[in-house]
Amino acid sequence: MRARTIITLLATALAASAAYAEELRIGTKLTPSSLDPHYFNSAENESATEPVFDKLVAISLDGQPTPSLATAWENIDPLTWRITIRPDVKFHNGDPLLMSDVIFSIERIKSITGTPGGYLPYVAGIESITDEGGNVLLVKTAKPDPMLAYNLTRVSVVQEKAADGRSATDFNQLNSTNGTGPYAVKEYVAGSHAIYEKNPHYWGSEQPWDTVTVRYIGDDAARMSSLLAGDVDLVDAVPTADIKRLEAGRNIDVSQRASVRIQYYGLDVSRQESPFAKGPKGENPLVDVRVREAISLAIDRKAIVDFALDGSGTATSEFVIPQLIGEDRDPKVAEADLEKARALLADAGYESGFELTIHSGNDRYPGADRVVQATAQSLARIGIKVNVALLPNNIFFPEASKQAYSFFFLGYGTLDSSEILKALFHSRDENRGFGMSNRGRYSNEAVDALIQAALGTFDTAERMNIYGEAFRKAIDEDFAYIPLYYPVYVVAFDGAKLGYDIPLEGYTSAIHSKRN
Amino acid sequence: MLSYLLRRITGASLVILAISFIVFMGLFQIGDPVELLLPDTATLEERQLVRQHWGLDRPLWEQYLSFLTRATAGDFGQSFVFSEPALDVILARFPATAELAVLSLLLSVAISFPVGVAAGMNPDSVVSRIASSTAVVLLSLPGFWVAILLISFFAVNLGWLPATGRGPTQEILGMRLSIFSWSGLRHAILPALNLALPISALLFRMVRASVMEARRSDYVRFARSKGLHPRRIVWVHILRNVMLPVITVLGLELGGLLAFAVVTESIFAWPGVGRLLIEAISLLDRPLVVTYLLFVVAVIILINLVVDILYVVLDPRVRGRA
Repeated sequence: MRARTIITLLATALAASAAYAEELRIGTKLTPSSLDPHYFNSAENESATEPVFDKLVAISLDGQPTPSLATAWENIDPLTWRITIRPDVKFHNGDPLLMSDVIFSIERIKSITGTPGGYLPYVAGIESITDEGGNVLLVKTAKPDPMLAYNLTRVSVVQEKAADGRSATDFNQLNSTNGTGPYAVKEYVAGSHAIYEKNPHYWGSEQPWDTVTVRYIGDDAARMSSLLAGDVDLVDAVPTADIKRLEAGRNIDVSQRASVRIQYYGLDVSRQESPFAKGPKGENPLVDVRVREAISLAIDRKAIVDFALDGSGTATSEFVIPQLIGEDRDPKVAEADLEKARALLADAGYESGFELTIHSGNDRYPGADRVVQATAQSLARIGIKVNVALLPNNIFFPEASKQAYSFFFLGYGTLDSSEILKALFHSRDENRGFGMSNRGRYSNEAVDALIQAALGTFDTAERMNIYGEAFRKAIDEDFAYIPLYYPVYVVAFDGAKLGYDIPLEGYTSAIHSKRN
Repeated sequence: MLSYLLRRITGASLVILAISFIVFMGLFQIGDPVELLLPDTATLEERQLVRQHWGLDRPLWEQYLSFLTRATAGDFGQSFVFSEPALDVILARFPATAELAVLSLLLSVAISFPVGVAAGMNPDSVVSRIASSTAVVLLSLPGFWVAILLISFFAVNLGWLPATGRGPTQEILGMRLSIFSWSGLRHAILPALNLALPISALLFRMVRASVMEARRSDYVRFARSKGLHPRRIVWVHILRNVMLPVITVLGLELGGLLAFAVVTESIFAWPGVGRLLIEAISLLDRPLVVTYLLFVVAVIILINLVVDILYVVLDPRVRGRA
């Protein structure tokens, strides 16, 4: 009698757990503003749309372009590419993928208006796309563009029939969300949740889940509680202080991965007088490279990561992770050297120091306030009189872009070195779109030349070398910016139910999970 | 009555106009939303296009005037972040906040009234003393802390209730509401409780004081000498007099719950309008912030109007004068 009860209970439990195991529940901090994959290039929207819409080219776990809807891309001559599209791909409703859908998707990005945008730079270089027949598209670029394959990893393919003439609202109301991806959106309530279900026509490998429910939980404590209470199976953006508690929880695995984001200090390197950096005669000390080197040497990056971030970060003296310049190694971290820093300051004529204010946003980068204060203390040790000003990000950011500050804390994240070099390191040229994020107005002709060369180099290895050279000149020689650390992505999940690989960009969605 | 209403409506319109002016000016001062909204990689051309599209490159007075003219036609602008009409974004999320507010008020009345009346009728009893101290404690505890405590206890430790989020919704009277299903109610209990506790504390003290005062009045003494059952005296006669100040407080609290339950909504991931406001401010989504504040002002004015009308209905003495 007892044995039978136990067996019945076990069978029921197994049946219940088997039925359970086909639904994945995610609690994420990333709340999307729209399900339109061309609307706004943000981690929030990408995470919500990547299960639904395939990109033309996918990106592997270590940042290399891999076949997705495009199975091959061949560079025929500097201005022409031949792209082969995967045959027999179907949309969620069974419609076949047409070449016109791919062409439409690219054209749509180019012509979309009234959105925060952000995808235009990836397709702006494409002059024309024609259907060659036999599932082949011919792409012509205005200038030689070695980065085309990388750029196509940002292009989501939508169905022309469903999306032509439609706006973001249609996507949010699920009128246009016909995609080729592994999951279809079944329900979406803005600010609350989205429910995805398995795409029966998917061309790729079998999806591990029948349904995926993603709940948007912005509050850190509430999100962690959801995981602990068993309401969700996976949470992202785990605060460092909670890692130990979660690891002690039953079946909970915590996974960390260094992001491609870099947190750095920007400096006003161009103006003779700067509002928040003043030497004894009112001049701007930061224009002198010795002063910038001294500042970099005075900062103990490892200590900052250990104490200000509880170890949740990778200290670095390089601007990008070495993998982004083709080198598979750990990033270099310069040791703090106060003696040399003081000597350099004295050489530059600032033996008695100078006045400096560090500005930062306080509600965007986790731990920013502690990092900035730790930096202030480091700089005080070499005689600089430092003030710290923390502001809400929505005030800080526009002001920083207007060059209102002299020394400011920012972050930047992308998989593509050429994008970083173009936006931050090239001299500012508004007409050609260079240096748009170069808030310190750093300008070095040699570096500009290297960047221009890289943009036209098709050989990947050679291009990586040029990147490395450009960064070396700008950071190691000129100290154009002061890199500090790469933040980590931390994710926690029910280890008994699923496994999860954090992608390089830190998006959170079901496509990076597998069933256990 | 009609002239009274007309006067109130005219006054309300002036208030709304003044608020729109203040908010618009204030937001203009803070900064350029384009920098915040566009990714770093956006080219200058993209930025200019966006600015032109949203009319941000025109002078302040022109932007304000254009806003006013469109507002009178019912168009409050497109949210920068959502690219949908601002009013639609707010109205889509309003039912969630409204049902939470109503549930909280019902809970607070259900908690505070019985205890308040009992404490008022017997002010020196144990019940009265314990309830009074508890009320003081509840009024002093910060809402976000109590919220985390409730989640930690009921959801994580006991597992009785879900930790966050809103339950499944059904279409009722043209709105999507969740509290009419058992699953939806389970999700709503903790946030509603979190909002209701400080309000019940306040109501308890009011009810208790009113009942204590009413107990000693002439009409109660006459009723008792007339031989009426004590329960009838309390629940029919005393309560009617207690209702007036209570309704004022409930009206005020309802306004506050509808407009500013941000903390509770954030912690419980409740998809209401409160959270929307904070996000809109962070991203300098001007149309959304302006529309939201005007909406809130309109709602609060409406509630006050209803309360005043209820006064007239409930209290015959006021009726004569109105």
